Amino acid sequence: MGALSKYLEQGKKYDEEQLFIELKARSRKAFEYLYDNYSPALYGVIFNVLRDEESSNDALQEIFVKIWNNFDSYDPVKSRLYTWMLNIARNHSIDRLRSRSTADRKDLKKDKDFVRQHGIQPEQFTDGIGLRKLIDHLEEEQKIVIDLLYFQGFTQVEAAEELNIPLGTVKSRVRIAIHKLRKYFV
Amino acid sequence: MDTKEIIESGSLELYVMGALTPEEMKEIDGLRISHPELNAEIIRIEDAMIAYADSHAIKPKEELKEKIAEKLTFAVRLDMESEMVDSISIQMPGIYRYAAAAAIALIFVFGAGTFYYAHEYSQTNIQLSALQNEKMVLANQVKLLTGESNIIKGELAVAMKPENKKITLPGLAIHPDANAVIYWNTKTGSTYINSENLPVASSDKQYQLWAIVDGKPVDLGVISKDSTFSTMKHIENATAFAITLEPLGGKPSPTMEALYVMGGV
Repeated sequence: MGALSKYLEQGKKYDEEQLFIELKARSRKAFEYLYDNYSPALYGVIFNVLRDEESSNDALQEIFVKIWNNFDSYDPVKSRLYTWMLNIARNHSIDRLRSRSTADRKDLKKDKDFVRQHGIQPEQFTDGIGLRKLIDHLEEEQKIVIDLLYFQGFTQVEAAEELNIPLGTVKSRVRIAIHKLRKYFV
Repeated sequence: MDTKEIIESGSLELYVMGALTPEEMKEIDGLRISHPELNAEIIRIEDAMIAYADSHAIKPKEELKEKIAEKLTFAVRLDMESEMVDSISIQMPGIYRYAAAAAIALIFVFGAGTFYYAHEYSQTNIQLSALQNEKMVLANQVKLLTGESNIIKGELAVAMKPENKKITLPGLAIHPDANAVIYWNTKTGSTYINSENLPVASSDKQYQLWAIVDGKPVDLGVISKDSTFSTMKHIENATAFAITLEPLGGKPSPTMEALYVMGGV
Protein backbone atom coordinates (compact mmCIF):
# COMPACT_ATOMS: atom_id res chain seq x y z
CA MET A 1 0.00 0.00 0.00
CA GLY A 2 1.24 3.46 -0.79
CA ALA A 3 1.63 6.10 1.86
CA LEU A 4 -1.34 8.07 0.62
CA SER A 5 -3.79 5.21 0.76
CA LYS A 6 -2.54 4.42 4.23
CA TYR A 7 -3.03 8.03 5.14
CA LEU A 8 -6.55 8.01 3.77
CA GLU A 9 -7.37 4.79 5.62
CA GLN A 10 -6.38 6.34 8.90
CA GLY A 11 -8.59 9.25 8.05
CA LYS A 12 -8.67 12.07 10.52
CA LYS A 13 -6.87 10.13 13.20
CA TYR A 14 -3.58 11.82 12.50
CA ASP A 15 -3.98 14.50 9.88
CA GLU A 16 -1.38 16.88 8.55
CA GLU A 17 -2.36 19.59 11.01
CA GLN A 18 -1.55 17.43 14.01
CA LEU A 19 1.60 16.15 12.36
CA PHE A 20 2.56 19.78 11.75
CA ILE A 21 2.31 20.55 15.48
CA GLU A 22 4.28 17.44 16.47
CA LEU A 23 6.95 18.26 13.89
CA LYS A 24 7.23 21.82 15.15
CA ALA A 25 7.92 20.29 18.55
CA ARG A 26 10.48 17.86 16.97
CA SER A 27 8.94 14.98 18.87
CA ARG A 28 10.16 11.41 18.49
CA LYS A 29 6.56 10.45 17.81
CA ALA A 30 6.45 12.77 14.80
CA PHE A 31 9.55 11.10 13.35
CA GLU A 32 8.12 7.62 13.80
CA TYR A 33 4.94 8.64 12.02
CA LEU A 34 6.78 10.51 9.30
CA TYR A 35 9.13 7.63 8.59
CA ASP A 36 6.56 4.84 8.71
CA ASN A 37 4.13 6.65 6.42
CA TYR A 38 6.23 8.69 4.03
CA SER A 39 9.60 6.99 3.65
CA PRO A 40 8.46 4.57 0.87
CA ALA A 41 7.18 7.42 -1.30
CA LEU A 42 10.30 9.51 -0.65
CA TYR A 43 12.57 6.56 -1.28
CA GLY A 44 10.68 5.86 -4.52
CA VAL A 45 11.38 9.36 -5.76
CA ILE A 46 15.04 9.15 -4.68
CA PHE A 47 15.58 5.80 -6.35
CA ASN A 48 13.91 6.95 -9.54
CA VAL A 49 16.46 9.73 -9.80
CA LEU A 50 19.62 8.00 -8.55
CA ARG A 51 19.06 4.39 -9.74
CA ASP A 52 21.58 3.09 -7.23
CA GLU A 53 20.83 1.52 -3.87
CA GLU A 54 23.83 2.68 -1.87
CA SER A 55 23.51 6.22 -3.09
CA SER A 56 19.74 6.19 -2.47
CA ASN A 57 20.25 4.98 1.10
CA ASP A 58 22.63 7.87 1.80
CA ALA A 59 20.27 10.32 0.15
CA LEU A 60 17.30 9.14 2.23
CA GLN A 61 19.26 9.83 5.41
CA GLU A 62 20.35 13.26 4.23
CA ILE A 63 16.81 14.12 3.17
CA PHE A 64 15.29 13.18 6.52
CA VAL A 65 17.89 15.29 8.31
CA LYS A 66 17.04 18.16 5.93
CA ILE A 67 13.28 17.82 6.51
CA TRP A 68 13.83 17.65 10.24
CA ASN A 69 16.19 20.62 10.51
CA ASN A 70 14.46 22.86 7.97
CA PHE A 71 10.93 22.23 9.07
CA ASP A 72 10.49 25.85 10.14
CA SER A 73 10.80 26.92 6.51
CA TYR A 74 7.75 24.84 5.54
CA ASP A 75 4.78 27.08 4.82
CA PRO A 76 1.45 25.25 5.18
CA VAL A 77 -0.31 27.84 3.04
CA LYS A 78 1.92 27.22 0.01
CA SER A 79 1.83 23.47 -0.22
CA ARG A 80 0.80 20.23 1.37
CA LEU A 81 3.38 18.82 3.78
CA TYR A 82 3.57 15.75 1.55
CA THR A 83 4.33 17.85 -1.55
CA TRP A 84 6.95 19.84 0.33
CA MET A 85 8.76 16.66 1.41
CA LEU A 86 8.54 15.09 -2.05
CA ASN A 87 10.06 18.23 -3.56
CA ILE A 88 12.93 18.20 -1.06
CA ALA A 89 13.56 14.53 -1.85
CA ARG A 90 13.52 15.13 -5.58
CA ASN A 91 15.67 18.28 -5.56
CA HIS A 92 18.22 16.79 -3.19
CA SER A 93 18.47 13.64 -5.31
CA ILE A 94 18.94 15.65 -8.49
CA ASP A 95 21.69 17.73 -6.81
CA ARG A 96 23.35 14.54 -5.67
CA LEU A 97 23.21 13.06 -9.15
CA ARG A 98 24.75 16.15 -10.68
CA SER A 99 27.64 16.24 -8.23
CA ARG A 100 28.22 12.54 -8.88
CA SER A 101 28.89 12.99 -12.56
CA THR A 102 31.69 15.45 -11.82
CA ALA A 103 33.17 15.36 -15.31
CA ASP A 104 29.92 16.71 -16.70
CA ARG A 105 29.28 19.07 -13.84
CA LYS A 106 29.25 22.18 -15.95
CA ASP A 107 27.11 20.69 -18.63
CA LEU A 108 23.55 20.47 -17.42
CA LYS A 109 22.37 18.90 -20.63
CA LYS A 110 24.85 16.05 -20.28
CA ASP A 111 23.77 15.48 -16.69
CA LYS A 112 20.29 15.07 -17.90
CA ASP A 113 21.39 12.71 -20.64
CA PHE A 114 23.01 10.68 -17.90
CA VAL A 115 19.68 10.47 -16.12
CA ARG A 116 17.97 9.57 -19.36
CA GLN A 117 20.36 6.74 -20.06
CA HIS A 118 19.53 5.33 -16.67
CA GLY A 119 15.90 5.72 -17.69
CA ILE A 120 12.91 5.06 -15.56
CA GLN A 121 11.32 1.66 -15.41
CA PRO A 122 9.06 1.92 -12.41
CA GLU A 123 7.45 -1.45 -13.07
CA GLN A 124 10.57 -3.19 -11.76
CA PHE A 125 10.34 -1.60 -8.39
CA THR A 126 6.71 -1.27 -7.54
CA ASP A 127 5.74 -4.89 -6.95
CA GLY A 128 2.89 -5.26 -4.54
CA ILE A 129 1.96 -1.63 -4.61
CA GLY A 130 -1.74 -1.09 -5.09
CA LEU A 131 -1.46 2.16 -6.92
CA ARG A 132 0.75 0.64 -9.57
CA LYS A 133 -2.32 0.19 -11.78
CA LEU A 134 -2.73 3.93 -11.89
CA ILE A 135 0.26 4.51 -14.13
CA ASP A 136 -1.04 1.96 -16.62
CA HIS A 137 -3.75 4.39 -17.51
CA LEU A 138 -1.22 6.86 -18.85
CA GLU A 139 0.08 6.82 -22.40
CA GLU A 140 3.84 6.35 -22.74
CA GLU A 141 4.26 9.89 -24.09
CA GLN A 142 2.45 11.29 -21.05
CA LYS A 143 4.55 9.25 -18.61
CA ILE A 144 7.76 10.48 -20.21
CA VAL A 145 6.78 14.14 -19.84
CA ILE A 146 5.81 13.73 -16.20
CA ASP A 147 8.96 11.75 -15.41
CA LEU A 148 11.16 14.38 -17.03
CA LEU A 149 9.52 17.21 -15.14
CA TYR A 150 8.83 15.51 -11.86
CA PHE A 151 11.63 13.02 -11.30
CA GLN A 152 14.39 14.61 -13.30
CA GLY A 153 13.82 18.27 -12.60
CA PHE A 154 13.54 19.44 -16.21
CA THR A 155 11.88 22.81 -16.79
CA GLN A 156 9.06 22.83 -19.31
CA VAL A 157 11.35 24.43 -21.91
CA GLU A 158 14.03 21.77 -21.40
CA ALA A 159 11.41 19.04 -21.65
CA ALA A 160 10.11 20.51 -24.91
CA GLU A 161 13.65 20.56 -26.32
CA GLU A 162 14.46 17.10 -25.07
CA LEU A 163 11.37 15.56 -26.66
CA ASN A 164 11.44 17.87 -29.65
CA ILE A 165 7.83 18.95 -29.20
CA PRO A 166 6.25 22.44 -28.87
CA LEU A 167 5.94 23.99 -25.42
CA GLY A 168 2.15 23.90 -25.64
CA THR A 169 2.27 20.14 -26.19
CA VAL A 170 4.29 19.69 -22.98
CA LYS A 171 1.62 21.54 -21.08
CA SER A 172 -1.28 19.72 -22.64
CA ARG A 173 0.28 16.27 -22.13
CA VAL A 174 0.92 17.05 -18.49
CA ARG A 175 -2.59 18.29 -18.07
CA ILE A 176 -4.19 15.23 -19.68
CA ALA A 177 -1.98 12.89 -17.63
CA ILE A 178 -2.82 14.56 -14.35
CA HIS A 179 -6.48 14.58 -15.26
CA LYS A 180 -6.35 10.83 -15.65
CA LEU A 181 -4.63 10.45 -12.28
CA ARG A 182 -7.20 12.70 -10.66
CA LYS A 183 -10.08 10.43 -11.58
CA TYR A 184 -9.01 8.15 -8.78
CA PHE A 185 -9.60 10.77 -6.16
CA VAL A 186 -13.12 11.91 -6.96
CA MET B 1 -6.08 35.77 -18.16
CA ASP B 2 -9.17 34.68 -16.23
CA THR B 3 -9.08 31.74 -13.84
CA LYS B 4 -10.65 29.34 -16.33
CA GLU B 5 -7.93 30.07 -18.87
CA ILE B 6 -5.23 29.62 -16.23
CA ILE B 7 -6.68 26.28 -15.18
CA GLU B 8 -6.90 25.08 -18.78
CA SER B 9 -3.40 26.30 -19.71
CA GLY B 10 -1.67 23.52 -17.76
CA SER B 11 0.36 26.04 -15.75
CA LEU B 12 -1.03 24.86 -12.43
CA GLU B 13 0.18 21.33 -13.09
CA LEU B 14 3.67 22.67 -13.79
CA TYR B 15 3.42 24.83 -10.66
CA VAL B 16 2.79 21.79 -8.46
CA MET B 17 5.73 19.99 -10.08
CA GLY B 18 7.98 23.00 -9.55
CA ALA B 19 8.62 23.26 -13.31
CA LEU B 20 7.78 26.95 -13.78
CA THR B 21 10.26 29.83 -13.61
CA PRO B 22 10.60 31.51 -10.18
CA GLU B 23 8.64 34.54 -11.46
CA GLU B 24 5.78 32.37 -12.71
CA MET B 25 5.79 30.44 -9.42
CA LYS B 26 5.49 33.70 -7.48
CA GLU B 27 2.65 34.87 -9.67
CA ILE B 28 0.64 31.74 -8.92
CA ASP B 29 1.56 31.95 -5.21
CA GLY B 30 -0.25 35.29 -5.23
CA LEU B 31 -3.17 34.29 -7.46
CA ARG B 32 -4.11 31.25 -5.37
CA ILE B 33 -4.63 33.43 -2.32
CA SER B 34 -7.00 35.81 -4.12
CA HIS B 35 -8.76 33.10 -6.17
CA PRO B 36 -10.11 30.18 -4.08
CA GLU B 37 -11.11 28.26 -7.22
CA LEU B 38 -7.46 28.23 -8.37
CA ASN B 39 -6.37 27.11 -4.93
CA ALA B 40 -8.92 24.26 -4.98
CA GLU B 41 -7.62 23.18 -8.39
CA ILE B 42 -4.01 23.24 -7.15
CA ILE B 43 -4.95 21.05 -4.19
CA ARG B 44 -6.57 18.52 -6.53
CA ILE B 45 -3.45 18.47 -8.70
CA GLU B 46 -1.31 17.95 -5.60
CA ASP B 47 -3.44 14.91 -4.76
CA ALA B 48 -2.77 13.49 -8.21
CA MET B 49 0.99 14.07 -7.96
CA ILE B 50 1.03 12.50 -4.50
CA ALA B 51 -0.68 9.48 -6.02
CA TYR B 52 1.91 9.43 -8.78
CA ALA B 53 4.74 9.48 -6.23
CA ASP B 54 2.93 6.79 -4.23
CA SER B 55 2.69 4.61 -7.30
CA HIS B 56 6.49 4.67 -7.43
CA ALA B 57 6.91 3.96 -3.72
CA ILE B 58 9.66 1.59 -2.60
CA LYS B 59 10.06 0.50 0.99
CA PRO B 60 13.58 1.34 2.22
CA LYS B 61 15.59 -1.24 4.19
CA GLU B 62 14.52 -1.65 7.82
CA GLU B 63 17.89 -0.63 9.34
CA LEU B 64 17.78 2.83 7.74
CA LYS B 65 15.13 3.99 10.20
CA GLU B 66 17.40 3.62 13.25
CA LYS B 67 20.33 5.12 11.35
CA ILE B 68 18.26 8.20 10.58
CA ALA B 69 16.86 8.48 14.11
CA GLU B 70 20.45 8.62 15.43
CA LYS B 71 21.13 11.66 13.26
CA LEU B 72 18.14 13.70 14.46
CA THR B 73 17.72 15.78 17.58
CA PHE B 74 14.49 15.12 19.39
CA ALA B 75 13.08 17.80 21.63
CA VAL B 76 11.45 16.93 24.91
CA ARG B 77 9.63 20.21 25.30
CA LEU B 78 6.44 20.89 23.38
CA ASP B 79 5.85 24.56 24.13
CA MET B 80 7.48 26.75 21.48
CA GLU B 81 6.57 30.03 23.12
CA SER B 82 8.31 29.37 26.41
CA GLU B 83 11.40 28.30 24.48
CA MET B 84 11.60 31.73 22.85
CA VAL B 85 11.10 33.54 26.14
CA ASP B 86 13.75 31.39 27.83
CA SER B 87 16.35 32.17 25.22
CA ILE B 88 16.01 35.84 26.13
CA SER B 89 16.31 35.24 29.85
CA ILE B 90 19.45 33.13 29.55
CA GLN B 91 21.61 36.21 29.23
CA MET B 92 20.45 37.82 32.47
CA PRO B 93 22.19 35.85 35.25
CA GLY B 94 25.58 36.40 33.57
CA ILE B 95 25.24 40.17 33.76
CA TYR B 96 24.15 39.96 37.36
CA ARG B 97 26.99 37.71 38.40
CA TYR B 98 29.54 39.81 36.58
CA ALA B 99 28.30 43.03 38.15
CA ALA B 100 28.18 41.59 41.65
CA ALA B 101 31.57 39.87 41.39
CA ALA B 102 33.17 43.02 40.05
CA ALA B 103 31.71 45.19 42.81
CA ILE B 104 32.64 42.78 45.62
CA ALA B 105 36.19 42.25 44.35
CA LEU B 106 36.76 45.99 44.19
CA ILE B 107 35.50 46.44 47.75
CA PHE B 108 38.04 43.89 49.01
CA VAL B 109 41.05 45.15 47.11
CA PHE B 110 40.52 48.87 47.68
CA GLY B 111 39.26 49.08 51.25
CA ALA B 112 39.26 52.85 51.06
CA GLY B 113 36.85 52.92 48.19
CA THR B 114 34.26 50.86 50.01
CA PHE B 115 31.65 53.51 50.20
CA TYR B 116 32.06 54.52 46.58
CA TYR B 117 31.87 50.96 45.29
CA ALA B 118 28.91 50.14 47.53
CA HIS B 119 27.19 53.00 45.80
CA GLU B 120 28.26 51.65 42.40
CA TYR B 121 26.95 48.27 43.44
CA SER B 122 23.54 49.67 44.26
CA GLN B 123 23.58 51.55 40.95
CA THR B 124 24.31 48.24 39.23
CA ASN B 125 21.37 46.74 41.08
CA ILE B 126 19.12 49.52 39.86
CA GLN B 127 20.36 48.99 36.31
CA LEU B 128 19.84 45.29 36.75
CA SER B 129 16.22 45.65 37.79
CA ALA B 130 15.70 48.04 34.87
CA LEU B 131 17.12 45.37 32.56
CA GLN B 132 14.94 42.75 34.18
CA ASN B 133 11.94 44.95 33.57
CA GLU B 134 12.96 45.37 29.97
CA LYS B 135 13.34 41.63 29.69
CA MET B 136 9.78 41.15 30.88
CA VAL B 137 8.47 43.70 28.42
CA LEU B 138 10.36 42.00 25.58
CA ALA B 139 9.14 38.58 26.64
CA ASN B 140 5.58 39.87 26.64
CA GLN B 141 6.07 41.38 23.22
CA VAL B 142 7.35 38.08 21.89
CA LYS B 143 4.31 36.38 23.37
CA LEU B 144 2.00 38.97 21.86
CA LEU B 145 3.61 38.78 18.41
CA THR B 146 3.59 35.00 18.47
CA GLY B 147 -0.07 35.15 19.41
CA GLU B 148 -0.84 37.59 16.61
CA SER B 149 1.02 35.59 14.01
CA ASN B 150 -0.80 32.44 15.15
CA ILE B 151 -4.14 34.23 14.74
CA ILE B 152 -3.20 35.35 11.22
CA LYS B 153 -1.90 31.88 10.31
CA GLY B 154 -5.11 30.36 11.66
CA GLU B 155 -7.29 32.68 9.63
CA LEU B 156 -5.27 32.13 6.48
CA ALA B 157 -5.52 28.36 6.87
CA VAL B 158 -9.30 28.64 7.28
CA ALA B 159 -9.63 31.07 4.37
CA MET B 160 -7.54 28.88 2.03
CA LYS B 161 -9.71 25.81 2.50
CA PRO B 162 -12.03 25.58 -0.54
CA GLU B 163 -14.83 24.06 1.54
CA ASN B 164 -15.06 27.21 3.68
CA LYS B 165 -17.41 29.72 2.13
CA LYS B 166 -16.54 33.37 2.66
CA ILE B 167 -19.47 35.66 3.51
CA THR B 168 -18.99 39.39 4.02
CA LEU B 169 -21.47 41.08 6.35
CA PRO B 170 -21.79 44.78 5.41
CA GLY B 171 -22.49 47.51 7.98
CA LEU B 172 -26.07 48.62 8.62
CA ALA B 173 -27.51 52.12 9.30
CA ILE B 174 -26.18 52.22 12.87
CA HIS B 175 -22.56 52.01 11.60
CA PRO B 176 -22.29 51.82 7.78
CA ASP B 177 -18.47 51.57 7.83
CA ALA B 178 -18.47 48.41 9.89
CA ASN B 179 -18.16 44.96 8.37
CA ALA B 180 -17.32 41.41 9.36
CA VAL B 181 -16.24 38.32 7.44
CA ILE B 182 -17.63 34.86 8.11
CA TYR B 183 -16.03 31.62 6.91
CA TRP B 184 -18.63 28.90 6.90
CA ASN B 185 -18.19 25.24 6.08
CA THR B 186 -21.55 24.31 4.58
CA LYS B 187 -20.88 20.59 5.05
CA THR B 188 -19.68 20.45 8.64
CA GLY B 189 -21.27 23.68 9.88
CA SER B 190 -17.96 25.04 11.26
CA THR B 191 -18.14 28.84 11.52
CA TYR B 192 -15.31 31.35 11.94
CA ILE B 193 -15.36 35.12 12.11
CA ASN B 194 -12.95 37.95 11.38
CA SER B 195 -14.21 40.81 13.54
CA GLU B 196 -11.42 43.36 13.09
CA ASN B 197 -13.65 45.84 11.23
CA LEU B 198 -16.30 46.13 13.93
CA PRO B 199 -16.15 49.33 16.05
CA VAL B 200 -14.45 48.78 19.43
CA ALA B 201 -17.04 47.73 22.02
CA SER B 202 -17.13 49.48 25.41
CA SER B 203 -15.91 47.42 28.37
CA ASP B 204 -19.43 46.43 29.47
CA LYS B 205 -20.51 45.28 26.01
CA GLN B 206 -19.68 42.50 23.60
CA TYR B 207 -20.65 41.52 20.05
CA GLN B 208 -22.77 38.43 19.50
CA LEU B 209 -23.11 36.41 16.28
CA TRP B 210 -26.43 35.09 15.05
CA ALA B 211 -27.34 32.78 12.20
CA ILE B 212 -30.73 33.11 10.54
CA VAL B 213 -32.29 29.66 10.12
CA ASP B 214 -35.84 29.38 8.79
CA GLY B 215 -36.27 33.09 9.36
CA LYS B 216 -35.35 32.85 13.08
CA PRO B 217 -32.12 33.99 14.79
CA VAL B 218 -29.96 31.23 16.31
CA ASP B 219 -27.24 32.17 18.84
CA LEU B 220 -23.70 31.34 17.59
CA GLY B 221 -21.98 32.74 20.67
CA VAL B 222 -20.35 35.97 21.75
CA ILE B 223 -17.29 37.21 19.84
CA SER B 224 -14.01 37.29 21.79
CA LYS B 225 -12.82 40.78 22.71
CA ASP B 226 -9.18 39.65 22.72
CA SER B 227 -8.89 38.27 19.21
CA THR B 228 -9.80 39.48 15.72
CA PHE B 229 -10.40 35.94 14.53
CA SER B 230 -12.55 33.42 16.41
CA THR B 231 -14.15 30.04 16.02
CA MET B 232 -17.90 30.23 16.65
CA LYS B 233 -20.60 27.61 17.27
CA HIS B 234 -21.53 25.14 14.50
CA ILE B 235 -24.57 25.85 12.36
CA GLU B 236 -26.11 24.12 9.37
CA ASN B 237 -28.68 25.47 6.90
CA ALA B 238 -28.14 29.14 7.74
CA THR B 239 -29.55 31.62 5.22
CA ALA B 240 -27.90 34.72 6.71
CA PHE B 241 -25.58 35.89 9.50
CA ALA B 242 -25.92 38.99 11.70
CA ILE B 243 -24.06 40.64 14.59
CA THR B 244 -25.56 42.65 17.45
CA LEU B 245 -23.92 44.53 20.31
CA GLU B 246 -25.09 43.04 23.62
CA PRO B 247 -24.21 43.24 27.33
CA LEU B 248 -21.11 41.16 28.28
CA GLY B 249 -21.85 37.45 27.91
CA GLY B 250 -24.57 38.01 25.31
CA LYS B 251 -28.33 37.47 25.38
CA PRO B 252 -30.65 34.59 24.45
CA SER B 253 -32.26 36.66 21.68
CA PRO B 254 -30.85 39.56 19.66
CA THR B 255 -31.46 43.24 20.42
CA MET B 256 -32.69 44.36 17.00
CA GLU B 257 -31.90 48.04 17.70
CA ALA B 258 -28.23 47.13 18.12
CA LEU B 259 -27.86 45.26 14.82
CA TYR B 260 -24.48 46.25 13.37
CA VAL B 261 -23.86 44.05 10.32
CA MET B 262 -25.85 41.49 8.39
CA GLY B 263 -25.37 39.48 5.21
CA GLY B 264 -27.07 36.66 3.29
CA VAL B 265 -25.38 33.39 2.35
